[in-house]
Amino acid sequence: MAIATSKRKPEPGAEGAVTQGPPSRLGEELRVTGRLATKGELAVEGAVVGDIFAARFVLESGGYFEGNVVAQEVLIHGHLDGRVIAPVVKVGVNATVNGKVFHHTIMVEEGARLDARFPWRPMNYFEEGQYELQET
Amino acid sequence: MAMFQRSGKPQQTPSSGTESTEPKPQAQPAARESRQQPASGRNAAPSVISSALTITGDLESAGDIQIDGAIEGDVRAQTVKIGDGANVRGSVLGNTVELAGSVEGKIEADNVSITRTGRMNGDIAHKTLQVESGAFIDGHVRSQSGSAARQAGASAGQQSGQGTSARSASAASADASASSPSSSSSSAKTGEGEKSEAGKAAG
Repeated sequence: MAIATSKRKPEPGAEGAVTQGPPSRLGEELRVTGRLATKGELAVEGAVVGDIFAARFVLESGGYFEGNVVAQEVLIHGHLDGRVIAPVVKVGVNATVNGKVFHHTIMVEEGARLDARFPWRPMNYFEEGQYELQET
Repeated sequence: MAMFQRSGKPQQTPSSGTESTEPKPQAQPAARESRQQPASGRNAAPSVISSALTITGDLESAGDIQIDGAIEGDVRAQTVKIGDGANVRGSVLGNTVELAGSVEGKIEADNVSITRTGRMNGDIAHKTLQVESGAFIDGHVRSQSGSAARQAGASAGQQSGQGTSARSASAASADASASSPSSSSSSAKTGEGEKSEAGKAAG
């Protein structure tokens, strides 16, 4: 069951976010408050307030996220308010990013609205236990 | 390149981006609008909580939710499908609830169906109930009546579950008289749920 999704298309330039298990998708009518944890992919089209731990996090266009997200790879097309901790970060044209984005490699498309800090961190920072969510 | 192809939007390659900056801002808002359109309609694709996902907190949706993972918190949606292997600890409120996984808490819905793999620890408040042989239920099963029933009774969904629901209702009332404190508190909660449910149906 889990094999099918782990064979997803390789992202160019990505270190390869290893997703395990089927992907989750939170539709645009869904609002979630709390903590979400997955070893797979999480796509958000609705609104999430809280903390997200995922292998791959995609905030779709029209989606809203407020809180901390820790992932191997983060794609932002929607509105993000908070803190991102991910070695690979991609920000799309429609994105609005407020807060702080800890990254190793980042790609920002023309047109994205950024009001954030983007601290670079070495790869080992993103290993479990190295980062601190409280860091400001 | 294919970097953002997931979102299905028209994309220029970064190298050709410089000469084509003009059409970009126009194309994007259009794509965005078409994406958001289903929000107003009823038929947006359902949300999927996969088996790999654990949520601690509350979920609320005007649409449908398919749950295959683990949730610790309350779920409120139009249709909630709890798949085999899924685990919900909390309240499940909705118009239709299909249970093939496990729920520890309560279910309040107009149409409740529990399959043979379903496992329910807690009370069920329903209008129509369907239970497959092999399902596990530990809790009070109550048939809602009165104002809430009239509210949604108009909506045609009253399927063939009449006989079942009548039988379980009598069983539930026997239970209720046996242990009054817990059932009275849960019925008070039910009242709340009904009210908000009615409000949602009206809106």
